Amino acid sequence: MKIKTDFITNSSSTSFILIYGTEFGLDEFLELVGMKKESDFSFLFARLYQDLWEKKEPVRETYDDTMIKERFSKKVLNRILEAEEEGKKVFAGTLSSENDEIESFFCTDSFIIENDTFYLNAINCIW
Amino acid sequence: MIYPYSTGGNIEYYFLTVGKYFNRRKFLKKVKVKKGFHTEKVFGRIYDELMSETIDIQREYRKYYAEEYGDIGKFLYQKFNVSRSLIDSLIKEINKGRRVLFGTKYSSKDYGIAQLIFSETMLERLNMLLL
Repeated sequence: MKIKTDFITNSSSTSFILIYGTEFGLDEFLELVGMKKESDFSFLFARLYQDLWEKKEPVRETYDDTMIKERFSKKVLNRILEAEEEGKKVFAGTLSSENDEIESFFCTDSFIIENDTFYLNAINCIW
Repeated sequence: MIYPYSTGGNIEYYFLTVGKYFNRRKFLKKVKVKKGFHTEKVFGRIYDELMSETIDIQREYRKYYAEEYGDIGKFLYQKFNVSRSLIDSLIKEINKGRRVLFGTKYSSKDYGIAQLIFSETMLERLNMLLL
């Protein structure tokens, strides 16, 4: 049995990795996640796009190889190294459950979105 | 239309009114997501959370309670303890030929999705879609 003796919280944060070659706008992002532009629900993924753009920072400003391996996985590290070799841009950031329901949803949801334009890994959900 | 319903402070249950032939495919089509993409997965989970383990109120009433309560309004009031205004809304929907379902929040055990569905903006948009 494990006993936690320090601060316990219900809030959570998810670190994400975002990799892409060339920058893309909101319309392209919505297209790539499969949301038709005229949908009444596009606001949900528009918000994800906005959060990613606001919270992303070049990965090497925060993480070295060891930290990436520890916080994500060896597979993700290899993915990043490969992308860096190809001259792609690699970012990391954090989503929080403390802001509102939409960010909170994406923060507590574990997912990977991958296509020819970008790779988004938000699988590392930490409660 | 989703009618959140609570016996205490937090939303624990809901009534959901849908057309007779409402299904997952029609829902996703109305949301306007593309097949095989991430958004299809997310909204598929929304549909599953809303529909999973729901009870069809009219069927339940006819099968088990019609004799005991005599009319569906009385059944809703005494069995579910819902307000008169909600009963009126549900009966109006029944009279339009729509199905009334009773569901429990978190029944699909997808906590994040349930939280998202019952957030203000999402509930508003879903209700526009489910009208």
